[in-house]
Amino acid sequence: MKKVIFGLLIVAGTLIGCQENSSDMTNELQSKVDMSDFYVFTDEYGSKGDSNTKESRECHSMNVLNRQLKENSGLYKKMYDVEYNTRKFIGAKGKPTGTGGGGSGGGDSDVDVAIVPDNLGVINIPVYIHIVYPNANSISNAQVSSQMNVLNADFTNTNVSQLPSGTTFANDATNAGFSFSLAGTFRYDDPKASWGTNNSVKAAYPPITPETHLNIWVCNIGGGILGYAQFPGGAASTDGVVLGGEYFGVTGGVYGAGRTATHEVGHYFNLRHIWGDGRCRQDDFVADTPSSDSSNGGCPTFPSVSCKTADMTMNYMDYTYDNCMYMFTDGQRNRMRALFAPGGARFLMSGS
Amino acid sequence: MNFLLKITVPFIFIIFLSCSAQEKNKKEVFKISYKAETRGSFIIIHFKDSSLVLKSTSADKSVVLSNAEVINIYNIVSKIKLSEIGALIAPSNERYRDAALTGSFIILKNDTSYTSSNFDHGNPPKELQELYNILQKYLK
Repeated sequence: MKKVIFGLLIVAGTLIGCQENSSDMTNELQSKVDMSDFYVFTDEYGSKGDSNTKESRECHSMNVLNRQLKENSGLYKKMYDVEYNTRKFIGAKGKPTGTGGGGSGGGDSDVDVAIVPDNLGVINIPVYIHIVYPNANSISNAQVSSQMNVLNADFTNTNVSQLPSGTTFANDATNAGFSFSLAGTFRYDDPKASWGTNNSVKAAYPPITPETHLNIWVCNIGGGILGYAQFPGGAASTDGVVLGGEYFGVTGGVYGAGRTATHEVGHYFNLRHIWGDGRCRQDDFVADTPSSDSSNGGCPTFPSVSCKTADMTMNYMDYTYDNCMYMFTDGQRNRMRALFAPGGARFLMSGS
Repeated sequence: MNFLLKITVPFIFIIFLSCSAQEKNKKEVFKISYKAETRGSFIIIHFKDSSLVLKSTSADKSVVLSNAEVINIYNIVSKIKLSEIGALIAPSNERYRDAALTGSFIILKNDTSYTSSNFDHGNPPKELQELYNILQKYLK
């Protein structure tokens, strides 16, 4: 009898299932499997096919870099070394509250990272600007100096007065301790309409002493890209930042306050996007930036909650409008400055 | 007469088969969304029934697809292991440094939503390449 009822139930269940072609339970299960970070990470470890899964799990952030191994093993090694040095430096000089060198976690907006004492003072970055346009004079010296002013302000000011009430970010906002000085502006009249993101502008107009100078190319990129950067550890011949002329310096519009450069120089200084370019558990390697699973655009009203905490949408490494981003954190400061300490990837720059 | 039968019967059979396949698939796949965005620009593609709609920073476009094109999309989606698209590994990571838009698919099938992992716009994981290409092709 039990068997008969059971059988009937199965038949009924199948029929209902067939009719409606959906079931809440499947839905729920599916979304759990789909959204679970553990699933993502398990899969990625699996794809590596190595035996030291335990080590990988302990340092899940390296996971991101593991993907780059597939593309370019040389780059992987260099970026791995940069990351290793960064963590070693931060770990040796002062352990941030909460998570370690910025590896795992980073999900709590209340985590306060201490500034690592590095005796580097204000680090000056000499900058070469390469303007590549059909009429290179269309980008004026005034526009160039407005960009320099924005960089100097953004890597110094905490702008805590701009924070909306209700955030816990005031103690995170930092003076990153960088200054930027214009070392030279070069103008090249070039009829090319758009340069893309494949570094072709750098091949045509190579960087000047990229070991000691930040090179910025100003050209029309196209494809909806405002600017792009290269992380430390990449080839010297392509080291630097590329910006579209409309987004270079103080111009006009929602991306006209010169902060595309601030964001890209953040990458050039080894900062990742604040949401870690992945889901909640994929970190930006910075402990005092709240965990997030996607970028924020526009000018969000606080709080913009994802991964159970309010996103730091006002961080330069998010995707918000220029006037709605106005801070780096202490954790980001430590990460950036680690590059300029002895053994760091941009150590040669700190003496110039 | 015999010749006519030889031609017509399989032909009718094929029509019947493809219609039933279409009906079956139509019940299975309801909606496909593709979204790519970066700071300052976005591309959104929606597919539902026979409508394919593009909205982006630079252009908007709307296309009504033929039955054959719709079936083609269904067949491509039916080959994708939807429960695994959330864990696909992107073949490139240019979006990390803003050199590409961040792309992802959301596929709604039988009221269950499957979200893919993120990838560089223009270079999806190989498992999603065919779907990506066909949407691009039909929008041209």
